[in-house]
Amino acid sequence: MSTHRFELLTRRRATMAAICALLLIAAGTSAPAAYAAWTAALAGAGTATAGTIATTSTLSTIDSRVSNDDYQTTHVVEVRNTPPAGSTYTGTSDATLVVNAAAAHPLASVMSVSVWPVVNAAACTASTAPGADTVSGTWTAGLTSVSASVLPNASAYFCVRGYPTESTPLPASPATAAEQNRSVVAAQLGSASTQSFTPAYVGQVQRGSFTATSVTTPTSTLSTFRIFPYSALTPGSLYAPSVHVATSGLCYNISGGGNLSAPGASLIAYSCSSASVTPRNERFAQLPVPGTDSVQVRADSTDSTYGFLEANTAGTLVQSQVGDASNLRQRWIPQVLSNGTRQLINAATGYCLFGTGGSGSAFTTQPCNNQVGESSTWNTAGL
Amino acid sequence: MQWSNPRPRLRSTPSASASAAWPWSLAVATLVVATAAAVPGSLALWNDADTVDAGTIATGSINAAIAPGSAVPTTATSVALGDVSAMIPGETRGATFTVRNTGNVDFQLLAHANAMTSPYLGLSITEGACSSTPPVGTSLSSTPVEIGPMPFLPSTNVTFCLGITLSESTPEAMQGTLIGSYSIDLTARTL
Repeated sequence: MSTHRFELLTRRRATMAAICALLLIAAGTSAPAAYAAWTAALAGAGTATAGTIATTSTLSTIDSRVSNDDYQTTHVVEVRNTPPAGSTYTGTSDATLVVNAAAAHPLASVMSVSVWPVVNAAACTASTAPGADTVSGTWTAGLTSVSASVLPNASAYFCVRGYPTESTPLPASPATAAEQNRSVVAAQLGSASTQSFTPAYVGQVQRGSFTATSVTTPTSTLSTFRIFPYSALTPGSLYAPSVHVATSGLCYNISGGGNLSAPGASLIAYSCSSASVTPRNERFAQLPVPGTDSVQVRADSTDSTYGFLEANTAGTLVQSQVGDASNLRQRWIPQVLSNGTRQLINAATGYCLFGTGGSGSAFTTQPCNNQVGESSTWNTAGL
Repeated sequence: MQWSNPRPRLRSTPSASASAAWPWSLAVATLVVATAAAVPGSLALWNDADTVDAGTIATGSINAAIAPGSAVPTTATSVALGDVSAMIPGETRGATFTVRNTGNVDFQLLAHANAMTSPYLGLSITEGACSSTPPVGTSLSSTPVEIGPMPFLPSTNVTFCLGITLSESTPEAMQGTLIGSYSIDLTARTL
């Protein structure tokens, strides 16, 4: 065998060896057979459009009168959650109520408002205690209530209570402590005319980031009624007040003559004395009670311990008693009317001192209602 | 069955012709070894042979159809699932459709969301027709997930509820507007 032939054979062997190696590798790697999966394709498609949520707010009839005996107003606002037609959503949305004044007014700045959610309209009355989730502020500043969960096509209810800012803590029932209304009186700003402002209520419903609002305002404003500016007379000076009743010429009089040291004598209307010196049981002084906007009214007893006008517990009589400035029924809020006459508001009840009739008739107290007998003229007493 | 008696081996000496045939013999031997290695079991020298009747080999077909609602699908491979309107955030609406195995082999059904034009839309799927308040089932994304029975047998129908959910974070400005389109792709795959 020639050298050339031997080399040729050697190359063939090498070539075949390489082929065999490749075949082995191929056989080894292809042992787990790979199969191309057969498939069939299906498809479905559509579009989605968002709806618009809506809400309506309904205001109950509000006690729009802020008076000396009831300066607190309580009413309920219904906020309804109205989903778009066709919505199948059954979860809840968040309802809130925003309360403020439609326009700035001094009365709105001294009146506070508290709002809290209630389960239904019946759960909001004048005697309802505010809930733990109450939010408070002034009408002028406005506030937003906590949110209440509300189902679709259902309503959330919010109890709203307005009261003088100085009433602290928030009264839980119709306030009768008229002394607390001094901020309202102060809001009169020297004007004897009625003060009023219009509250505004904005109901909001929120679902996710979607929000709907509705604004409602009461048909009547929130107004003062028979509340007049605070006006005390010169402390300690003596006056002979005459009451304005149908019969003219009747003055304040402690019954029983000059026996002012006997507690329990009633204040009556009696013909004014014509003497140049006013009798002691017809002359009275106003004594300011420090730290309050009230005064004690004292007949000019020789003993300064006695002669203090005090409404009895029922408010049916006003009697001369031993002085006690801590007794609200013995404190009176002097207010001056536009015609210069005055009315005395009992601090315990907010009622007006009221002359009921002719000579000899007893004074009593009653809600101020612009009636004769509620006001009087305080002339300087003859001494 | 036959016993093959091995012939006695002869010692040979290299020759020119033998040298020329050697590479091919080596290749054949290698193939035999490779084949033997690829076949499970050992190649016994014992063997037997029988005659098998002639038969036919037929290929299977994988076919599926889709129809809206609970209707029995026929041949359609795509379906309009409807325009969902007046949705509010957090709301899920359902679109019912039915898939039928119209082929003659079992398959596995896979689903994935496709061509979602809004980030505020989400898809989910459950087996069974939609109720008035569709349950939130398996969330769908661009990654296929198996749905329905396994295997999906020939000549059977399965109804599904596709849930379309509007996100809680859908912006306020989108109230009353078209949110976007949604699409689901289904793949029937051989097992």
